[in-house]
Amino acid sequence: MKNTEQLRKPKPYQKKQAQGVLYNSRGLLLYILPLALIPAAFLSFVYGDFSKIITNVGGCVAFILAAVLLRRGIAAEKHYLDKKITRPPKWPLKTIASIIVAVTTGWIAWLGAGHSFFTSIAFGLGALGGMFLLYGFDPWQEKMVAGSHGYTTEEVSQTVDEAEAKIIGIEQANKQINNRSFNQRIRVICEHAGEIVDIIQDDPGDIRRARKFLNVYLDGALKVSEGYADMQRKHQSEELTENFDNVLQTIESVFIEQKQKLLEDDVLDLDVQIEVLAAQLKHEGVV
Amino acid sequence: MSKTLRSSIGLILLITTVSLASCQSMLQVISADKNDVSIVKQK
Repeated sequence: MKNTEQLRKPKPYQKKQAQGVLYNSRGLLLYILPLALIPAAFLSFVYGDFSKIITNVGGCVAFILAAVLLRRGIAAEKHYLDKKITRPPKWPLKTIASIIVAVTTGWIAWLGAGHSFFTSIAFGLGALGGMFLLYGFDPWQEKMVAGSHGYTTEEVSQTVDEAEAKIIGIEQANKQINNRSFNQRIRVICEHAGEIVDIIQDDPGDIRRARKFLNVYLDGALKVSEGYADMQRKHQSEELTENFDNVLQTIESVFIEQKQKLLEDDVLDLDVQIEVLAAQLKHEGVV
Repeated sequence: MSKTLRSSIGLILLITTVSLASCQSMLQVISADKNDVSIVKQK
Protein backbone atom coordinates (compact mmCIF):
# COMPACT_ATOMS: atom_id res chain seq x y z
CA MET A 1 0.00 0.00 0.00
CA LYS A 2 1.30 3.44 -0.78
CA ASN A 3 2.29 5.60 2.19
CA THR A 4 0.42 8.61 0.83
CA GLU A 5 -2.79 6.58 0.82
CA GLN A 6 -2.35 5.90 4.54
CA LEU A 7 -1.35 9.40 5.57
CA ARG A 8 -4.06 11.36 3.78
CA LYS A 9 -7.12 12.00 5.94
CA PRO A 10 -10.12 10.33 4.28
CA LYS A 11 -13.33 12.27 3.80
CA PRO A 12 -16.75 10.71 4.42
CA TYR A 13 -18.25 9.50 1.15
CA GLN A 14 -20.67 11.96 -0.42
CA LYS A 15 -22.59 11.70 -3.62
CA LYS A 16 -21.50 14.34 -6.11
CA GLN A 17 -24.18 17.01 -6.01
CA ALA A 18 -24.90 20.40 -7.50
CA GLN A 19 -24.67 22.06 -4.07
CA GLY A 20 -25.57 25.60 -3.08
CA VAL A 21 -28.14 27.58 -1.19
CA LEU A 22 -29.46 29.12 -4.39
CA TYR A 23 -30.03 25.70 -5.95
CA ASN A 24 -31.77 24.39 -2.84
CA SER A 25 -34.02 27.43 -2.56
CA ARG A 26 -35.15 27.24 -6.18
CA GLY A 27 -38.90 27.00 -6.58
CA LEU A 28 -39.72 28.68 -3.25
CA LEU A 29 -40.85 31.76 -5.19
CA LEU A 30 -44.08 29.98 -6.10
CA TYR A 31 -45.00 29.85 -2.43
CA ILE A 32 -44.37 33.60 -2.03
CA LEU A 33 -45.86 35.20 -5.16
CA PRO A 34 -49.48 34.14 -4.63
CA LEU A 35 -49.46 34.99 -0.88
CA ALA A 36 -52.12 37.67 -1.45
CA LEU A 37 -54.56 34.86 -2.21
CA ILE A 38 -54.55 33.84 1.47
CA PRO A 39 -56.12 37.11 2.77
CA ALA A 40 -58.32 37.13 -0.34
CA ALA A 41 -59.60 33.64 0.51
CA PHE A 42 -60.03 34.60 4.17
CA LEU A 43 -61.97 37.78 3.31
CA SER A 44 -64.11 35.84 0.83
CA PHE A 45 -65.18 33.60 3.72
CA VAL A 46 -65.78 36.63 5.94
CA TYR A 47 -67.97 38.31 3.31
CA GLY A 48 -69.62 35.01 2.33
CA ASP A 49 -68.86 35.37 -1.38
CA PHE A 50 -69.06 31.78 -2.64
CA SER A 51 -67.59 32.32 -6.13
CA LYS A 52 -64.62 34.23 -4.65
CA ILE A 53 -64.13 31.48 -2.04
CA ILE A 54 -63.87 28.88 -4.81
CA THR A 55 -61.59 31.09 -6.91
CA ASN A 56 -59.19 32.13 -4.16
CA VAL A 57 -59.05 28.88 -2.17
CA GLY A 58 -58.73 26.90 -5.42
CA GLY A 59 -55.97 29.27 -6.52
CA CYS A 60 -54.09 28.82 -3.23
CA VAL A 61 -54.30 25.03 -3.47
CA ALA A 62 -53.25 25.00 -7.13
CA PHE A 63 -50.23 27.26 -6.52
CA ILE A 64 -49.10 25.14 -3.55
CA LEU A 65 -49.47 21.99 -5.67
CA ALA A 66 -47.48 23.64 -8.47
CA ALA A 67 -44.76 24.70 -6.02
CA VAL A 68 -44.46 21.15 -4.62
CA LEU A 69 -44.27 19.65 -8.13
CA LEU A 70 -41.77 22.29 -9.24
CA ARG A 71 -39.49 21.60 -6.26
CA ARG A 72 -39.66 17.86 -6.97
CA GLY A 73 -38.93 18.51 -10.63
CA ILE A 74 -35.93 20.65 -9.68
CA ALA A 75 -34.68 17.90 -7.33
CA ALA A 76 -35.06 15.31 -10.12
CA GLU A 77 -33.18 17.62 -12.48
CA LYS A 78 -30.43 18.07 -9.88
CA HIS A 79 -30.14 14.29 -9.54
CA TYR A 80 -29.96 14.06 -13.35
CA LEU A 81 -27.25 16.73 -13.55
CA ASP A 82 -25.18 15.09 -10.80
CA LYS A 83 -24.91 11.82 -12.69
CA LYS A 84 -22.71 11.12 -15.66
CA ILE A 85 -24.93 8.23 -16.73
CA THR A 86 -28.64 8.29 -16.04
CA ARG A 87 -32.12 8.28 -17.49
CA PRO A 88 -34.28 11.41 -17.65
CA PRO A 89 -36.85 11.90 -14.84
CA LYS A 90 -39.93 9.69 -15.21
CA TRP A 91 -42.42 12.59 -15.08
CA PRO A 92 -41.95 16.10 -16.55
CA LEU A 93 -42.78 17.68 -13.18
CA LYS A 94 -41.49 21.17 -14.03
CA THR A 95 -43.65 21.26 -17.16
CA ILE A 96 -46.72 20.07 -15.23
CA ALA A 97 -46.05 22.75 -12.57
CA SER A 98 -45.69 25.42 -15.29
CA ILE A 99 -49.03 24.44 -16.85
CA ILE A 100 -50.75 24.52 -13.44
CA VAL A 101 -49.29 27.98 -12.74
CA ALA A 102 -50.38 29.27 -16.17
CA VAL A 103 -53.95 27.94 -15.87
CA THR A 104 -54.30 29.13 -12.26
CA THR A 105 -52.96 32.60 -13.03
CA GLY A 106 -55.40 32.94 -15.94
CA TRP A 107 -58.21 31.63 -13.72
CA ILE A 108 -57.40 34.10 -10.90
CA ALA A 109 -57.06 37.01 -13.35
CA TRP A 110 -60.42 36.20 -14.94
CA LEU A 111 -62.64 35.17 -12.04
CA GLY A 112 -60.72 36.72 -9.13
CA ALA A 113 -59.40 40.01 -10.46
CA GLY A 114 -62.24 40.51 -12.96
CA HIS A 115 -60.15 40.90 -16.13
CA SER A 116 -61.60 40.07 -19.55
CA PHE A 117 -61.20 36.54 -20.89
CA PHE A 118 -58.49 37.47 -23.38
CA THR A 119 -56.55 39.57 -20.86
CA SER A 120 -56.67 36.58 -18.52
CA ILE A 121 -55.26 34.36 -21.25
CA ALA A 122 -52.44 36.89 -21.62
CA PHE A 123 -51.81 36.61 -17.84
CA GLY A 124 -51.68 32.81 -18.17
CA LEU A 125 -49.31 32.91 -21.13
CA GLY A 126 -47.09 35.42 -19.31
CA ALA A 127 -46.90 33.10 -16.30
CA LEU A 128 -46.14 30.11 -18.55
CA GLY A 129 -43.35 32.02 -20.30
CA GLY A 130 -41.99 33.21 -16.95
CA MET A 131 -41.92 29.64 -15.61
CA PHE A 132 -40.04 28.29 -18.64
CA LEU A 133 -37.60 31.20 -18.71
CA LEU A 134 -36.89 31.03 -14.98
CA TYR A 135 -36.91 27.28 -14.36
CA GLY A 136 -36.30 25.85 -17.82
CA PHE A 137 -37.56 22.60 -19.31
CA ASP A 138 -37.34 19.10 -17.85
CA PRO A 139 -34.36 17.03 -18.98
CA TRP A 140 -35.52 14.42 -21.49
CA GLN A 141 -32.38 12.86 -22.93
CA GLU A 142 -30.58 9.81 -21.61
CA LYS A 143 -27.08 10.58 -20.42
CA MET A 144 -24.51 8.03 -21.54
CA VAL A 145 -20.78 8.39 -22.03
CA ALA A 146 -19.12 7.27 -25.24
CA GLY A 147 -17.75 3.72 -25.35
CA SER A 148 -20.46 2.07 -23.30
CA HIS A 149 -19.73 -1.28 -25.01
CA GLY A 150 -23.37 -2.17 -25.45
CA TYR A 151 -24.41 -1.61 -21.83
CA THR A 152 -27.65 0.26 -21.44
CA THR A 153 -28.04 3.41 -19.37
CA GLU A 154 -30.34 1.40 -17.10
CA GLU A 155 -27.66 -1.21 -16.35
CA VAL A 156 -24.92 1.31 -15.62
CA SER A 157 -27.20 3.60 -13.67
CA GLN A 158 -28.50 0.71 -11.57
CA THR A 159 -24.98 -0.50 -10.80
CA VAL A 160 -23.88 2.98 -9.75
CA ASP A 161 -27.00 3.52 -7.61
CA GLU A 162 -26.61 0.16 -5.89
CA ALA A 163 -22.93 0.77 -5.22
CA GLU A 164 -23.64 4.25 -3.85
CA ALA A 165 -26.39 2.91 -1.59
CA LYS A 166 -23.98 0.29 -0.21
CA ILE A 167 -21.26 2.88 0.38
CA ILE A 168 -23.71 5.04 2.30
CA GLY A 169 -24.78 1.93 4.27
CA ILE A 170 -21.14 1.24 5.19
CA GLU A 171 -20.73 4.88 6.31
CA GLN A 172 -23.84 4.53 8.46
CA ALA A 173 -22.53 1.33 10.07
CA ASN A 174 -19.17 3.03 10.57
CA LYS A 175 -20.85 5.69 12.73
CA GLN A 176 -21.87 2.97 15.18
CA ILE A 177 -18.36 1.53 15.51
CA ASN A 178 -16.38 2.93 18.45
CA ASN A 179 -12.89 2.34 17.21
CA ARG A 180 -10.94 5.16 15.60
CA SER A 181 -8.62 2.90 13.68
CA PHE A 182 -11.55 1.00 12.16
CA ASN A 183 -13.44 4.23 11.47
CA GLN A 184 -10.47 5.59 9.58
CA ARG A 185 -10.00 2.38 7.61
CA ILE A 186 -13.68 2.15 6.67
CA ARG A 187 -13.66 5.78 5.50
CA VAL A 188 -10.66 5.01 3.29
CA ILE A 189 -12.50 1.98 1.87
CA CYS A 190 -15.56 4.12 1.12
CA GLU A 191 -13.42 6.75 -0.54
CA HIS A 192 -11.80 4.16 -2.79
CA ALA A 193 -15.17 2.60 -3.56
CA GLY A 194 -16.49 6.05 -4.52
CA GLU A 195 -13.54 6.53 -6.84
CA ILE A 196 -14.19 3.13 -8.43
CA VAL A 197 -17.82 4.18 -9.00
CA ASP A 198 -16.51 7.32 -10.71
CA ILE A 199 -14.23 5.22 -12.91
CA ILE A 200 -17.19 3.04 -13.94
CA GLN A 201 -19.18 6.14 -14.86
CA ASP A 202 -16.31 7.50 -16.92
CA ASP A 203 -15.72 4.21 -18.70
CA PRO A 204 -18.58 1.71 -18.39
CA GLY A 205 -16.73 -0.80 -20.61
CA ASP A 206 -15.60 -2.90 -17.65
CA ILE A 207 -18.87 -2.73 -15.84
CA ARG A 208 -19.54 -6.46 -15.70
CA ARG A 209 -16.34 -7.25 -13.85
CA ALA A 210 -16.42 -4.05 -11.82
CA ARG A 211 -20.03 -4.74 -10.85
CA LYS A 212 -19.16 -8.24 -9.69
CA PHE A 213 -16.20 -6.87 -7.78
CA LEU A 214 -18.16 -4.00 -6.21
CA ASN A 215 -21.06 -6.28 -5.32
CA VAL A 216 -18.91 -8.83 -3.52
CA TYR A 217 -16.51 -6.39 -1.87
CA LEU A 218 -19.01 -3.71 -0.97
CA ASP A 219 -21.44 -6.37 0.22
CA GLY A 220 -18.61 -7.90 2.23
CA ALA A 221 -17.60 -4.54 3.70
CA LEU A 222 -21.24 -3.70 4.47
CA LYS A 223 -21.93 -7.04 6.12
CA VAL A 224 -18.79 -7.06 8.24
CA SER A 225 -19.25 -3.41 9.28
CA GLU A 226 -22.88 -3.94 10.25
CA GLY A 227 -22.03 -7.27 11.88
CA TYR A 228 -19.16 -5.80 13.86
CA ALA A 229 -21.18 -2.75 14.95
CA ASP A 230 -23.92 -5.09 16.14
CA MET A 231 -21.60 -7.54 17.92
CA GLN A 232 -19.63 -4.71 19.51
CA ARG A 233 -22.79 -3.49 21.24
CA LYS A 234 -23.47 -6.94 22.68
CA HIS A 235 -19.99 -8.01 23.76
CA GLN A 236 -16.37 -7.17 23.05
CA SER A 237 -14.33 -10.05 21.73
CA GLU A 238 -10.65 -9.79 20.94
CA GLU A 239 -10.88 -12.53 18.38
CA LEU A 240 -13.72 -10.81 16.57
CA THR A 241 -11.88 -7.48 16.59
CA GLU A 242 -8.80 -9.15 15.17
CA ASN A 243 -10.80 -10.90 12.45
CA PHE A 244 -12.57 -7.67 11.57
CA ASP A 245 -9.23 -5.92 11.36
CA ASN A 246 -7.91 -8.63 9.01
CA VAL A 247 -10.93 -8.42 6.73
CA LEU A 248 -10.81 -4.62 6.60
CA GLN A 249 -7.13 -4.73 5.77
CA THR A 250 -7.81 -7.14 2.94
CA ILE A 251 -10.70 -5.11 1.59
CA GLU A 252 -8.77 -1.86 1.79
CA SER A 253 -5.69 -3.17 0.01
CA VAL A 254 -7.78 -4.90 -2.64
CA PHE A 255 -9.81 -1.75 -3.31
CA ILE A 256 -6.64 0.26 -3.84
CA GLU A 257 -5.24 -2.45 -6.06
CA GLN A 258 -8.43 -2.83 -8.07
CA LYS A 259 -8.86 0.88 -8.53
CA GLN A 260 -5.40 0.94 -10.05
CA LYS A 261 -6.21 -2.05 -12.25
CA LEU A 262 -9.40 -0.43 -13.47
CA LEU A 263 -7.49 2.73 -14.29
CA GLU A 264 -4.97 0.66 -16.20
CA ASP A 265 -7.71 -1.36 -17.90
CA ASP A 266 -6.20 -4.48 -16.32
CA VAL A 267 -9.08 -6.49 -14.98
CA LEU A 268 -7.77 -9.97 -15.56
CA ASP A 269 -7.53 -11.10 -11.96
CA LEU A 270 -10.69 -9.44 -10.58
CA ASP A 271 -12.53 -12.76 -10.49
CA VAL A 272 -9.70 -14.42 -8.59
CA GLN A 273 -9.71 -11.65 -5.96
CA ILE A 274 -13.46 -11.92 -5.57
CA GLU A 275 -13.16 -15.63 -4.79
CA VAL A 276 -10.35 -14.94 -2.34
CA LEU A 277 -12.48 -12.44 -0.39
CA ALA A 278 -15.50 -14.71 -0.37
CA ALA A 279 -13.35 -17.48 1.09
CA GLN A 280 -11.77 -15.14 3.64
CA LEU A 281 -15.11 -13.80 4.84
CA LYS A 282 -16.25 -17.37 5.47
CA HIS A 283 -13.00 -18.32 7.14
CA GLU A 284 -12.88 -15.30 9.47
CA GLY A 285 -16.47 -15.91 10.46
CA VAL A 286 -17.34 -12.21 10.64
CA VAL A 287 -20.40 -12.46 8.43
CA MET B 1 -29.71 34.96 -24.57
CA SER B 2 -27.60 34.53 -21.44
CA LYS B 3 -28.95 32.48 -18.55
CA THR B 4 -29.03 35.48 -16.21
CA LEU B 5 -30.99 37.61 -18.67
CA ARG B 6 -33.39 34.75 -19.36
CA SER B 7 -33.93 34.17 -15.63
CA SER B 8 -34.42 37.90 -15.00
CA ILE B 9 -37.08 38.16 -17.72
CA GLY B 10 -38.74 35.02 -16.37
CA LEU B 11 -38.72 36.40 -12.83
CA ILE B 12 -40.24 39.72 -13.94
CA LEU B 13 -42.91 37.91 -15.95
CA LEU B 14 -43.81 35.65 -13.04
CA ILE B 15 -43.93 38.50 -10.52
CA THR B 16 -46.00 40.63 -12.89
CA THR B 17 -48.55 37.97 -13.70
CA VAL B 18 -48.88 35.78 -10.60
CA SER B 19 -48.53 38.38 -7.86
CA LEU B 20 -50.49 41.00 -9.79
CA ALA B 21 -53.39 38.62 -10.41
CA SER B 22 -53.32 37.54 -6.74
CA CYS B 23 -53.18 41.10 -5.39
CA GLN B 24 -55.93 42.26 -7.76
CA SER B 25 -58.05 39.32 -6.68
CA MET B 26 -57.62 40.38 -3.05
CA LEU B 27 -58.45 44.02 -3.88
CA GLN B 28 -61.50 42.83 -5.79
CA VAL B 29 -62.79 41.01 -2.68
CA ILE B 30 -62.18 44.11 -0.53
CA SER B 31 -63.72 46.55 -3.02
CA ALA B 32 -66.74 44.27 -3.56
CA ASP B 33 -67.41 44.45 0.18
CA LYS B 34 -67.04 48.26 0.20
CA ASN B 35 -69.56 48.47 -2.65
CA ASP B 36 -71.96 46.28 -0.66
CA VAL B 37 -71.60 48.55 2.40
CA SER B 38 -72.23 51.73 0.34
CA ILE B 39 -75.31 50.15 -1.25
CA VAL B 40 -76.66 49.33 2.21
CA LYS B 41 -75.93 52.90 3.36
CA GLN B 42 -77.73 54.38 0.30
CA LYS B 43 -80.76 52.25 1.09
